[in-house]
Amino acid sequence: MAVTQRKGKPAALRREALTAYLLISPNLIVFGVFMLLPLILTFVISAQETSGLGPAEWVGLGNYTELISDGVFWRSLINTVGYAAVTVPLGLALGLAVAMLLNNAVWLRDVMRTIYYLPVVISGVAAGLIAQWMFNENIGVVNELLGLVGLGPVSWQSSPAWAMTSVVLLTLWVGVGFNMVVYLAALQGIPREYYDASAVDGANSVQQFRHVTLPGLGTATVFLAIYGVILSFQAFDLIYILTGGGPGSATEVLGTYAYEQAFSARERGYGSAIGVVLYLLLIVVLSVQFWISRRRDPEEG
Amino acid sequence: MNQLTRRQFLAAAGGTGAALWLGACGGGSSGSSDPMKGTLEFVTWGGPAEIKAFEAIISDFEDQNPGARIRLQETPFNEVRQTVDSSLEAEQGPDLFRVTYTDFGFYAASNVLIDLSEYLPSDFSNVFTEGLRAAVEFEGAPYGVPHHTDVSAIVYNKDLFQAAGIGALPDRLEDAWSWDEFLDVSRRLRDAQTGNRTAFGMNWQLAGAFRWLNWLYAAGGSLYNSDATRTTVDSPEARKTLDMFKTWFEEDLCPDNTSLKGSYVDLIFPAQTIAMISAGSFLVPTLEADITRFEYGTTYLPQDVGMSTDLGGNAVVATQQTEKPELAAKFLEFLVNQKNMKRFCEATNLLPTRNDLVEQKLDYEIRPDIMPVFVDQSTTITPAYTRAVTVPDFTQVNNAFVDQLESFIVGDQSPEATLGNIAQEATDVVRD
Repeated sequence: MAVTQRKGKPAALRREALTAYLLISPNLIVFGVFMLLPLILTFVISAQETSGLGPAEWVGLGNYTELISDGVFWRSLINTVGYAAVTVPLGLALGLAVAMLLNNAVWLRDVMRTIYYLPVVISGVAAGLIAQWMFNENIGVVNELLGLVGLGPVSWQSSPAWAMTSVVLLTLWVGVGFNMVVYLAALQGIPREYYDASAVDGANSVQQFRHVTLPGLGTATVFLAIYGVILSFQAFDLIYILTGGGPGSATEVLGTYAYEQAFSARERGYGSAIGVVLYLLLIVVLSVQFWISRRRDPEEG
Repeated sequence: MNQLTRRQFLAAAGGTGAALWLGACGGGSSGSSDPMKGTLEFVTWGGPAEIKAFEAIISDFEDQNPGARIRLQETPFNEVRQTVDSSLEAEQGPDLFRVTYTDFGFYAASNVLIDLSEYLPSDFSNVFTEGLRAAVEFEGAPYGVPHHTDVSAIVYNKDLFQAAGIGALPDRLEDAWSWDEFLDVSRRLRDAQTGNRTAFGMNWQLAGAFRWLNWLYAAGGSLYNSDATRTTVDSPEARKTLDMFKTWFEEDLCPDNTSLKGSYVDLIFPAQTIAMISAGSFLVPTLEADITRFEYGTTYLPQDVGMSTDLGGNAVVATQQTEKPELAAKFLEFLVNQKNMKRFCEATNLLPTRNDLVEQKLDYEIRPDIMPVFVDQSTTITPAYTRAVTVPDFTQVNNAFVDQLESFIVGDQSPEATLGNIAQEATDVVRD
């Protein structure tokens, strides 16, 4: 139908448009089948009470009203926001620090870059399993090492605060490599002349960092912050494997709680409702983030 | 027109590709129109010894039934439920799958399993012990075969017991420790040890949460009344049981990280940081492989006013989505005939479910010396316990155990609230 509307346009333009649609069609089909359709179905299932097998019962907003009085849901929501608020800025700072170190001619630079990037290519499940053994408070290597220097033992699994700390440490270890690579690219994109000019004006290295490096990393930082927030709101595999949300609900986040409800407890509708809340929350947070970054730097938007 | 044709071509090509691809993803039976020929998909989990035993039995079945093939699809235990559920939801379910007795009720009530009495002689299930026959029945009909059972007992580290000066352990069921004796032994073990070591680890993590009932039933409590229509969990006996659990953690008899969402105790035990654990006999092959530096033995679960242990083990079921129900039923019958059940149990340290094998002494391949304790302990499974843990949707009750007992042990939830919340879920399940 779109073809008839563009009757007036020259044939070459029409062909170009068609080629464009053809080129994006595989992407559109995959997006439609594996992203859009499941998203719509999640909304539909969230209005049902169903175990997945057997008949489903329509409950309207029943699952959502149940969420309001569910203490574990609120705990997961707070944990999710807190987890993002801690891991995103720390991840950015750590990524930038490592990138600045490895941007200079340090010893074994390429080897170090590879070592920092390696966790990014390890699957989350494998990283979680490794961490599970490392942080086991009975037999784990972390407490073993702390013991050698007279510290600990730390209750990585049974203390709520330490369990969350282990989750944050694991997340940073897995994520720092990606942030480092993006920052390295951005650092190399800052013209050398800016540093030379500021040096001529008498700027010291702290002033150079503040007035040359940081402004030059704006776009990369906005990208990493948005991407980091998305990832941390969607956090699932690392936490699910490492702590299973425990002890108690200390490390339960919306992703793990939705999975537990939908699959372990077979409450597909309730799990879907948690998924919908997570989705809406992410949209709100990202909208605010986009709005702030546009105001800050209009021409970058 | 030309453009539309190209578009149609693309749509058709995409559709065909997707259909082919989805078809390739699907499981399920296939093959000739002969009902006794074709390939069946069998989803299971298992340790190396169990998988090997399954493969040997499958190989014999295929030899005796030319044209029949059983494809074993091995899935980790933690993922098997999701794998089976989602494939059944997508109408791509396996022909056969292994299922715990506590999860059986859900599938039976969801109407996805085959009533085996339609395909097998009407008296075929009479060979099984009464309790386990009941465990795979739904509304009076058999919807699976009880493949084996398994119970918890105490597995202990002989070296650490010796170091604590604890020599003689109960070697007859009736001499099992009382709860007080158990606490006394645990305290002596704790005091005798150095470093980050504790006395006891309980095997109640996640899907095993229901094993707290071993202690509740020993104390004379129960989850449901005798016909499982009303919960009886909120009781003085249950409060006494929770007191016991609290003591373990408050007095550092149990490692802090072995709560219900914590670490599996059988993974910690080989590192010698726990002196004894509650464990099922199915773990013996793995423990035997992992434990190299010390001697270990077995004794009975402590007794209070009574004795109890859990209904472990698994059934095997056939789904309505199979195209070869006769063949699936025939395989199930073959899997649990006397010879095959005997060899499976002997190779995997599991307990049989056939009357003619329960009476016999099996020749276990691994650590036959410690198996009599499990065999004796299995006599403390009661019909009331079995009925309670096989109500449909017991999975939801088990999840409530995980959440509520975790909140009680790790958090500061009161025993009253803990039992109240468990009672609520237990009631919801039988009322539905």
